[in-house]
Amino acid sequence: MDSQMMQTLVVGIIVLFALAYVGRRAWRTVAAARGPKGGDGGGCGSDCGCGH
Amino acid sequence: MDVAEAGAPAATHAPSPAHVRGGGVLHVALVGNPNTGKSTLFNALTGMRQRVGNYSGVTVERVEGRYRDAEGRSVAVLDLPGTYSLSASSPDEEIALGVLVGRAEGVDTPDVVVVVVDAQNLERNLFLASQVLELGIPAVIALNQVDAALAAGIRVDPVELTLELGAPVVATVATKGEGLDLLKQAVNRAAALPPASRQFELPAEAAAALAPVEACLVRGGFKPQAAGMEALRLLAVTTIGAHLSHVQGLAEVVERARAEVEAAGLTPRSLEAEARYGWIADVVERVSTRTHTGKKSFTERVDAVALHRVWGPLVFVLLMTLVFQSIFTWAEPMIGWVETLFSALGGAVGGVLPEGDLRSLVVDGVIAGVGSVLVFLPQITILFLFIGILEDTGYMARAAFIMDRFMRSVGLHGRSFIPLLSGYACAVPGVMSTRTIENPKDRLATIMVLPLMSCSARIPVYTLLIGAFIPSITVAGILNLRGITLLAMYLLGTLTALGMAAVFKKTLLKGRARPLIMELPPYRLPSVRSLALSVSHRASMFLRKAGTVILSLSIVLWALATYPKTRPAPGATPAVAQEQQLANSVLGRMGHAIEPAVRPLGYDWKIGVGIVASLAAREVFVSTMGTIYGVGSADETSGDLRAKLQRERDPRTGALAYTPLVAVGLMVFYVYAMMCMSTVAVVVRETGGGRTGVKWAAFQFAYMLALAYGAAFIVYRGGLLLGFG
Repeated sequence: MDSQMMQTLVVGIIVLFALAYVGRRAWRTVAAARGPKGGDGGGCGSDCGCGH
Repeated sequence: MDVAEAGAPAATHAPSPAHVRGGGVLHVALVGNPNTGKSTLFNALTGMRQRVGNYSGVTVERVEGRYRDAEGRSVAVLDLPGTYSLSASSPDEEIALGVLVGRAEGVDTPDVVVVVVDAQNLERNLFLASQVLELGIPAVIALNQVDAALAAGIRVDPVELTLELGAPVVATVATKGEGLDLLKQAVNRAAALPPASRQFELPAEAAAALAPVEACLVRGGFKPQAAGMEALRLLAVTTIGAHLSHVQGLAEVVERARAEVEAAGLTPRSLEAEARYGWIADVVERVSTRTHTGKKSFTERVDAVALHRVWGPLVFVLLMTLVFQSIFTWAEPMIGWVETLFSALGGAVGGVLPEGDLRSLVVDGVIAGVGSVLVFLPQITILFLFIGILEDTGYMARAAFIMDRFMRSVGLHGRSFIPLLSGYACAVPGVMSTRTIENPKDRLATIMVLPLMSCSARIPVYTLLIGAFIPSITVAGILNLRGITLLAMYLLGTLTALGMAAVFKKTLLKGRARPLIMELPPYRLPSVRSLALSVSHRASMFLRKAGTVILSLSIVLWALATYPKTRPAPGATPAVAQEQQLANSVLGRMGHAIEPAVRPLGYDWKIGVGIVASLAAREVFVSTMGTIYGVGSADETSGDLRAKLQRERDPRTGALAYTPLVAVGLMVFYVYAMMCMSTVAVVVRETGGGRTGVKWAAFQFAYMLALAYGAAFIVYRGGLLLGFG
């Protein structure tokens, strides 16, 4: 396997991981909308500013 | 006043509550009026970094932390939202009551309750404290801010207060960590003490009328003592809380009790308040002394100006102008350093990695994408430093009063100010903090307009466009046009939020305005530690977002902008080949499909893609532009994103693609558009969840998008007509 192929393979794996992460975040956002009112800050990720 | 415990000596050798319960963990709930230093005490006990502020309503949810006591046992501390009573008339009060009576889902009933009482406002604070004590749960009173009380000439005797309340009182100064060891000891012993009971008598007719209500509650699983407190409380409230929905026949017996109380010539709604406050007034008289100096305090002197009808709003505007001017003038050199750092990093990595897709991913995708957002860290840090100073000094509470006049004129409840203020940081906690608003229509109106307040995620978008297209011109000798533009964007969002609130309150959510009743805390010097914690917390959240969501989306967008690969046209220069590659990529094709929708606003396909990508988070607009210009640029180290945007030309006309008019229109679009899926999710949940929640969130998304599109169209087309193009 030449260097170019190797790079493409590594890139493919990284992109798949990134896609999986984005998908997981999107799913968690949808799940938070379904969560109980008065519960914890499920809708707010660790980066939103409410301390969760 | 010394910081001392006045506990019952009999408890010294009592078995630990953890052993009594047998669970190994002691569950402690922290309750108190807003702005009593409850969150500061929570942080001091647990070593956590829960947000604190010198105004009420900072804690909007229950937050849990732990500490180990002197004997090594684990103590779980639950910080409940600040509440003035257990009347359960607003969602946050309901949360507190639900936890204390053991009816909150997923929360253990506390073994001990610590009631945080502000020594400066004993009379008001004892109302909640006495209600909690009557629930029969082991309780400790933390008499907090005794130093500030002493400075104000108020001296409270904790031993006398212990005798009056029948529960241990520990004097504390949470900000300095004073009294914490004694408080921990008192908590550990509290479960072995006999529970406190009601210390005042009700009129005989009222007591007789309430007896069937108490019996009904006991049949529903309440302890007799807690049933007494609940029965009295129920006389005054209009709705029976969710935590009592399981009690059979309660509504009927409460109704009968109300009728009997009225027949006896008493007022059911005010019976508890009159009886409790009457007793509290006597207690305060016996346990405290007040020295009147005759002089106006520092706070009173400052407030004479800060709350003045004319000077007050002027001071507010001056302070806000100073904040936004400083964001640009102070941050500019730091932004330059970060840009140079990322440019050098891109060059260094580009030099080390062999040419190929991996190098392009790292340099054009990750470094160009994430780096273009990270350069705005200094501005975000400076903004939160200012917000922290204004909060900690106590000025924010004054700002609430100044804004209250405007809030009422549009029909919003005064309590809406704090959630709207939180919206400047992030709409998600802002929406959650609307739980303090009792009236559902007022609450809904606040939620509907809250995302119009410019959150910190908009700062990278504003500052990228202002830095690239608004000249750094001095106005009126001291002001910079860039700072004025940023202030204008914040004002536009705020004024539109108030305008939309007026529309909602006159149409969908009709109702009269209610006045703001809010405590004005004394002015104090901001704590350096608290400021450092607050700013570092915000900065770390921004960095975490850059390292997770923005990084992942930059990688995905890079892949979309890179594949499928296009063979360059024969004789094409590297720059033209790159442009062709980008145009034929998946992202390019998607962008060209979007372009007709955004063309009327003066945007090209690249901005269109940036807008769509930023639905995940607004900062993603900046990283998307960074990635697009990273992939589409032949020169991998050719300066920052702002310079690339300034140089961009329309391939069809050869004219500059982005003008100051386009930039202003785009900023206005971002002021109004609801580009945040986390906010949509929390609005669904907080507006009732299910179909109702989805309907309100969809309505909000649609009206904000229409507002954004319409306003950006008017700015661009109007500007062209006026010759600003």
